[in-house]
Amino acid sequence: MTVKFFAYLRDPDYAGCREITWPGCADVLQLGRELSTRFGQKFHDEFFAEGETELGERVIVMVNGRRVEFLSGIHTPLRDADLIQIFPVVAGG
Amino acid sequence: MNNGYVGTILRVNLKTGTILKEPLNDKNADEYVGARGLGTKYYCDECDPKCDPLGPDNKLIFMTGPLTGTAATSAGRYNAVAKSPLTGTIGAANSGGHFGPELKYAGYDGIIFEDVSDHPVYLYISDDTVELRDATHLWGKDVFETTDALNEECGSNFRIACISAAGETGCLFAGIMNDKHRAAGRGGIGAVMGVKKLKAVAVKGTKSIFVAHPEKFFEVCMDARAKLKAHPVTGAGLSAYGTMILVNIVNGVGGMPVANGRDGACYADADDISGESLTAKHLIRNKGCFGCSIGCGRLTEIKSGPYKSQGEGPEYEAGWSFGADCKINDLGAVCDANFMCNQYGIDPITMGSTIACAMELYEMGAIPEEDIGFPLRFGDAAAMVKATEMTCKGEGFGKIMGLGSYRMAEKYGHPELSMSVKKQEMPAYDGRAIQGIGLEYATSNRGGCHVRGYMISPEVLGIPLAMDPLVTEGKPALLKTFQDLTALCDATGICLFTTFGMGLPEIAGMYREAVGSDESDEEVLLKGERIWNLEKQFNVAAGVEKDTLPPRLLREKLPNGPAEGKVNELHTMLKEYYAARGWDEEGIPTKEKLTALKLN
Repeated sequence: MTVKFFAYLRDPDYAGCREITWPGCADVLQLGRELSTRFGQKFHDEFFAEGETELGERVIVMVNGRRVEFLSGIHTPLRDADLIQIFPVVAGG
Repeated sequence: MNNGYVGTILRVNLKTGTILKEPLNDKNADEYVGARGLGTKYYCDECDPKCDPLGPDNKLIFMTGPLTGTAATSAGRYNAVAKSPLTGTIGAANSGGHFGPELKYAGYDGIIFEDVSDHPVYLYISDDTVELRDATHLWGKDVFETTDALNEECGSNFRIACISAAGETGCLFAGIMNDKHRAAGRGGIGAVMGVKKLKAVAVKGTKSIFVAHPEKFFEVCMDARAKLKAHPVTGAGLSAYGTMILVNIVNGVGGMPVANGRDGACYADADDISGESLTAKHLIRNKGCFGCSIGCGRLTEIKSGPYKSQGEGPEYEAGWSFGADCKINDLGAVCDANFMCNQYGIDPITMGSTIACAMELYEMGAIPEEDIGFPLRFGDAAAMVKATEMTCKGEGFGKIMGLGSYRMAEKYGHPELSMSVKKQEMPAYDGRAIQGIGLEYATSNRGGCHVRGYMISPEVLGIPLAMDPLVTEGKPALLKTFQDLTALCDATGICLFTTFGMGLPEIAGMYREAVGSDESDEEVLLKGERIWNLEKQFNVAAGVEKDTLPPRLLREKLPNGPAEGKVNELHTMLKEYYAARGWDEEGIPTKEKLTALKLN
C-alpha cells in the first residue's frame, strides 16, 4: 500500500518523507503501530490517542479518500492496493 | 460612546460634494450589529432593490463592526456594501488589514457614498478633517501605484483603500483593495466605486474606541486569544502553511474541481501547487492583519524564471482557480497571476474560473482563436498568465473575460458551462464530492461563495465535528446555523477564521462586553439570522434568480476519485433547508418568520 504524509508530518521529527510504500497491514491500527515503530514516539503520539484505542485528536487518516471515521475507524481493514493519506488537522479557505 | 461603536457615520454625496457627519442609528446598530449587517441595513433602508448597480442610485457603504479596532482577536475587518453588478444580489465584501480599525480611530463607524462624481476624487480623512480631493492624477494607476502616491501625498501613516483601472473601466469582478494586498474582493464592488469616480479613501485617526465593560471585555478577549493559540489550526497550522494547506486534503477527498469541473475533482499534480510546496519554495514569511494572532497571510517570492515576482498570497481559492481549475501545475505561474490580481484589484476566484471556462469553450471550439488572439488550452501556464494580464488591463478578449464567466459563456452560447451561482463563480470545492458545500453555494445570498457558511469545515476538516461529505443528512440544519453564525461574526468585525478555534460563546461574549448587552448567546445569534433574512429579503425584491447550481453539478456524474458517480443532491437538501429557515417551499421568507425577526 502507499502511505502519504502531509504538512508537518513530512518533517524529520515525524515521517521525514512525503510518501512510502508499506507492506501489507491488516488494518489502520496495525499500520499506525508499524509506522510508529519506524518513525518514533512523536509520530506515535500524533497518530494515536492514549491507549491506542482511537486516532489522535490532531490527525486525519483517509483510506482511498474516505476518512476512517466513516469506515470502521481504527479497525478499517486495509488492502495492498490502498492509498492511505495522513494529515494533521488543517483548515483554511 | 462606550459601547464599541464610535458613534458617527460619514455621508458623502459625490455629485454635490456635500459631506455630513450624522449620528449612528443606535437601534439599527443594536439589531444588525455592524459591518456586513449594519451596512446592509443602511443600504436596504435607502436604496431601491431594482436599482442599476452601475447607476447613480446604487450607494456604496463602508462599515465597521463594534469589535473592529478593539482588543478582540483578529478584529481588523470592515465590509463594503452595495448592490453587486456581477450578481444583482446584495453585495457585502469583507476585508481585513488595517483600514477598518483606522476608520474607527478617525471617529467613524462607516461611510455612505451617494451618487456619482463628475471627475475622479478621493476621500481624505484625518480625524475631524474630511475632504473630497481631486484624483485625476491617480486615475488609471494600479493599486500599488495609487497607494504609494497617496501615502506620499497624505502621509505614510495613512491607510488606503482604492481601486485600479479594472474598477474604473467596469470589470464586473473588480474589488476594493486596502493596505495594498487585502481585498473586499467579491461581487464587483470595486466597479461600483469606479462608476462613482471614487478612486480611494485615505484615512488616519488618533482617537480611541471605548467599550462598555473594559475589564470584563479584556478578560473575554484574552480567553478567546488563548483558545485560538491552543488550537492546532489557529495556533500553528494556518501561520505555518497558510490557507494553501487545503490543496492536498480537499484533493484527497476528491473535491477539488479540475478543468472547470469537466475532468472531475482529483488533480494528479495537486502537490505541486500545495501549501507544502509554497512554504518550501516561495515563502518569505507569514503576515497578519490588525490584532491577529493567527497570521495566515503569505509574503511570497518567485525568485527566477518567467514569473519572477513578489507579492502576497495566494490563498487556497486563488491557488485552485489558477492551478487545478486551469490544469496548471506551475506554482510560479499561479503566484504571478495572483499577484497581478492584487496589483489590479480583481477577484482571483472569478478570474481563474473565468479563464478555465474560456479554456473549455476554446477546446470545444465554441470560442474561436481569433477572438482570444492566441490558443487558450488547459495546462498552458503562459496563456493563463496572459489571459489574466489582459483582463486586469481591460485589453482585447480581457474585456469579455472581465464580465465574468457567465456573461462570457452566454455570449458564446454555453451559459451552462459557467461554474457560477447567480453569476458569481463557485470557489475551490466540488459540490458533487462535498454535498453540503453545494447547498451552501446554491443558497448563498451573494452567489457562488464559500465564506457564507463554510461547510468544508465539518465535511472535510472535521471542525467542529466530522460529517461524511458524501451524504446529505444533517447538512441543511447545520448550514443554517453556520450561515447565521457567519453573518454574526462578519457583523462584529472579527475574522471568520477565528471560528476554526472558537465559537458562539466567545464571539457573543466579546460582543456583549463591548456593547454592554446582557443578551444570551442565542439572542446574539438571532441577530445573525436577522441579517441573513434581510439579505434574502433584498434579493427577493431585486428579482434575483432562484437557488440552484450549474447543470454540471446536478447532472454530470464525477468521473473519478472517492466520489466517483456522484452528483449534488440539491433537490433533497433544499426543501429541508427552507423548512429549517422557516421559509416557504419557493425559498421566500414567510411573514411569520419576518415578524419574528422584526423585519416587517
